[in-house]
Amino acid sequence: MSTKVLIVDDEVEFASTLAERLALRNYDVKAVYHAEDAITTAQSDPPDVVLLDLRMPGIGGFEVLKTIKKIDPTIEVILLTGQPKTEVTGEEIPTGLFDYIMKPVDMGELIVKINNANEKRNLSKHS
Amino acid sequence: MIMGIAKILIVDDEKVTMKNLEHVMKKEGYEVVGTESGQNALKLLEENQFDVVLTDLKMEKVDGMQILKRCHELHPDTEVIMITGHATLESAIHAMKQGAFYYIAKPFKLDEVRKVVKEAVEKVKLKKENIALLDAKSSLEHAVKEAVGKLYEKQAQLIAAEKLAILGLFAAGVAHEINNPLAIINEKAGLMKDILEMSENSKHKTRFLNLLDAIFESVNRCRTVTHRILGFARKTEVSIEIFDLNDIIKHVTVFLEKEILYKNIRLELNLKKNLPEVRSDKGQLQQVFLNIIKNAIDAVENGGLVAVSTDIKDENMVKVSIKDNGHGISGEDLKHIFEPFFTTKEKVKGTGLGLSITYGIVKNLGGNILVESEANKGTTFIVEIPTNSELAKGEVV
Repeated sequence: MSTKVLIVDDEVEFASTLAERLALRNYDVKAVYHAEDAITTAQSDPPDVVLLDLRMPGIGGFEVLKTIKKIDPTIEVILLTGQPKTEVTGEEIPTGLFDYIMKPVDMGELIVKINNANEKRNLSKHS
Repeated sequence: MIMGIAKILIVDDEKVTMKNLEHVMKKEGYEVVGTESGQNALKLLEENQFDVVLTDLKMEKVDGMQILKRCHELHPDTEVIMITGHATLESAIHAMKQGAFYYIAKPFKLDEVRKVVKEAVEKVKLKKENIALLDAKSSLEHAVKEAVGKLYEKQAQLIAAEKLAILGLFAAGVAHEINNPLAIINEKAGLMKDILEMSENSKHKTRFLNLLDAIFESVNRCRTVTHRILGFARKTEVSIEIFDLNDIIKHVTVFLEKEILYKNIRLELNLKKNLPEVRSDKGQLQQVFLNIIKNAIDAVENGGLVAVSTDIKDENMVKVSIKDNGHGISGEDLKHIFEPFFTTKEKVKGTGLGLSITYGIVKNLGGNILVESEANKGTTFIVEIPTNSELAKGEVV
């Protein structure tokens, strides 16, 4: 069964194209463009790995991360960011984040991170 | 001796004259040394500094002219008065040409000698005072120059620190704005590459793959630039360029677009058409308006109004007004807003340096900054910038 990836980013062109590219690599991908849709999807059709944009209008990336972790703590979240990890924001980075990846995304690096996250998810699910 | 009692040397091989003059000069209150020998006079000059030398011209072995010459070699400020019983016009002219202060013919009237010596003493005194004043002036100038230098250095450090703080605040916005479209370009080109690689070989396949690699290379270059912006801290010497102030305002508001959008702020730009171009420091003025407009955004509630307008003040000045309908500044706070480290913001948000540095930059460029505010009604900042900051010298470093 292929890894289920949920992309959450208000940049439609980015999210939809990344989704298509991951689908070509045999991932089961869905892209949503609003933080609220990410939460609904996490409830109705839980993904293995979430690729989450940090800065979105409305409730924002960190709130989405917290809510998803409440719905299912085994869902792994990789943050999509424009900056190095230590400078993500002035806010404190909430616990539960699996990793982060810098935009523009390097596909090879992203695949490794998604696979590692999925592996961790499988271990958590079965422990 | 300087400024105290004047010291006089009297040289005359006629003992009576020498003693007489010595007596008269002492009575005048001078410190007097007398000698009948020219040789002894030279020795005395080597060992002492006199203010005035009163010497006979014709003497055996060492005469008045030799004394005059040696005296000026040793003590250029000392005045020498010649006395002679064999006065001729030629000898008088010769002595004056050699730098004698005055020429007195024997027999002389004591009053004349008193008067001439007094004038010579006055002249020496003035010379010495003048030298002392010049010394004082020069050391004062040096001290002022040094202090001003230190102030500018301190200001440059503060500007640099504040720049870092402002850039820290906005780096996230910049990275977001540049990186998102860049990420889209990267994904679109990536998808094209994916599709091409999966497709059968065609005439153009290799060419297209090479072209896509060129796109990836450019994306990487842009990413490097973004990272440079994140660590960017430019030095702050004034660097004059010619530009349109309206462009700066537009640029700054684009920079703040995300904040404006997130707070749902109504931004009104009333930019005067055909505004004269200014010769000033573009980078520093960007910092000025970024700071003031950012303050206005911080001051208003969600959904508030920020209005920026540009206009001509007079033939030498253009002005920019930044008006908000925010919480305003109280009369007491208004007195202090340009002072360093004064802030009404929470500690995490403000360093209290923004407006003092803004003020410093505007003044440094020959401009003015004015503020009007009313609590709960809003604040207006007016920044006046000379169309030629180079002409507004004195203010410009």
